Amino acid sequence: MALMQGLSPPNIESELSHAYLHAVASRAGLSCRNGNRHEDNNGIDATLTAWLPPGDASTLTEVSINVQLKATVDAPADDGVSLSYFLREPKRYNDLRSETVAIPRILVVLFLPANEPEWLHHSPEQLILRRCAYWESLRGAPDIATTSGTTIKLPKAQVFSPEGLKQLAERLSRRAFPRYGAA
Amino acid sequence: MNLETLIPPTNLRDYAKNQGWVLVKEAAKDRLCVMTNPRYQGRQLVFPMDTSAPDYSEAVMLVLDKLAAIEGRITSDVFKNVLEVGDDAIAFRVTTPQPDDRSVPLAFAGSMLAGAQQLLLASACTVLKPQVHHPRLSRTEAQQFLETARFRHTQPGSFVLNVSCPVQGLDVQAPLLPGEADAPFVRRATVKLRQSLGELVSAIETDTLDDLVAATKESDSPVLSANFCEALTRFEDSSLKNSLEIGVTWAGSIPRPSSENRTSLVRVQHDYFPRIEEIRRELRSKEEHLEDVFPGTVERLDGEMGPDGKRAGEVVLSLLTPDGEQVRARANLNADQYEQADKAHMKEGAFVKVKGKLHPGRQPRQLNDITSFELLIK
Repeated sequence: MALMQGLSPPNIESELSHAYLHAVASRAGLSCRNGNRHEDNNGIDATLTAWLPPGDASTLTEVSINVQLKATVDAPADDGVSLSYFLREPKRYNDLRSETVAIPRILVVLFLPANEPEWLHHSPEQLILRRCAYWESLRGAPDIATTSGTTIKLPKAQVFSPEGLKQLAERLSRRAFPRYGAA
Repeated sequence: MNLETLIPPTNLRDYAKNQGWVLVKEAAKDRLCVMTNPRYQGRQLVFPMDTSAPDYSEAVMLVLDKLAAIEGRITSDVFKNVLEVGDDAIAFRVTTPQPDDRSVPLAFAGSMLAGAQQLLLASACTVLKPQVHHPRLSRTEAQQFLETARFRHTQPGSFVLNVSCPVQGLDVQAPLLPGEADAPFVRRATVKLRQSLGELVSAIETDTLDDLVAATKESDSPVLSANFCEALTRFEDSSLKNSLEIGVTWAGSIPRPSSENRTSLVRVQHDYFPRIEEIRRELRSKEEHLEDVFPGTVERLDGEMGPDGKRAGEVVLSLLTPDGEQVRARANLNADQYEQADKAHMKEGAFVKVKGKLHPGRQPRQLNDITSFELLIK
């Protein structure tokens, strides 16, 4: 039966990326809060919060991470080490590369299959959301004079997974901010 | 919303401290305020020390959301409290027996505003010079106190008048952590307001009004004044049969009075207002009929057309008594007098001079035996 299509394919991609974010964060024990309209205008799609055991006095036990979330069906260029993603909005790039933000920011990109039916499979036994997302910190990335956007290299080692997320939170609790290109 | 200008980091820090959060000094090297709370293990508040941080607004909003979740409140309420952390905030809440009331008469709203101002002035004057009646509420410090007070947004769902009094609004030389005796003038005035209210309501509820009046009159430093009582009566509308709740939230930026909780609430039930008026009269027992010539203005015309085709009848005047008190009074004018009153009412800067007998009582008082009514135009 044909159903009225309420969401366009790009909207569905976006919603799936949010679902991915929530699922991975929850599995890792982090809370995930969608950004409000004000935050969205500043390039924050969601805020993750992790709770960690106390360390020394300067260690944070409650760490927040602001996420700029993207989804794409375009096959990324793969140089063996990183996947390329074209970030269209220069303002978003500059928001992400700031070194003086109090709450760390990362870019998370979900690479979906090009074939739409393959995006999500559901059966009574399982729910499968295909492919995965990668993350990168653009902190300290170079200033680029462009109005059309820039290509970001997302390290293949930085899979946005529950384990990867926990490790990131642990680093941030020590105020050890990952920098662009350092992975 | 420009949180950088609305909520400085020190205000947010002071609010959190007041809730039991403790600053982690080691985080200062990262230019961060990191705060922990022994009541909430594992929770931390993190926000920049510098409003120039590019994500200052987002960081502060996140902290407000966290505090709201932890305290079980809505973020806007937390936001309001943080905004007022340096203020003693007084909320005057009117409740009526009719649950579906969605309005109050506009004149009553004006009366409440005037009552709130008078309460503040009376309390400030009692701090400066305790006496059972202040002939004038125009002492410079009291007026300055009133000028620092702010009328905040009202709250939805009921009729609430919110007034903020910045505790450091006048006494810039005050010590950083004052003891109660050395508290800033503004704090002393709000404490006095709370004390006066507490004593009054307690006396009504324990049926010890006579003792209260006697003690007040005999005291060298009375806490209560007739002006204070009069101000309270302005929060009553006889047609609404309303009650009044006055809540004081003490500023978080200085220690609160030792005898007080963070927020104190006193309820003045509808049936208390006549008793408060009695106390007012008792404290002004010297108040007698005053026969004199009073200058004043015409505030309202309520006359009716007579059989002679001329309007006459009741007017409301604002009169200046010989001891400088401004008093509202009703007067019944004949047609010629009413015509003068009408001209005075319509002309900016026009005063009247009326000779009559001003009776004691709640405002508007009664002005009778009018022997002359004269229009004075500037």
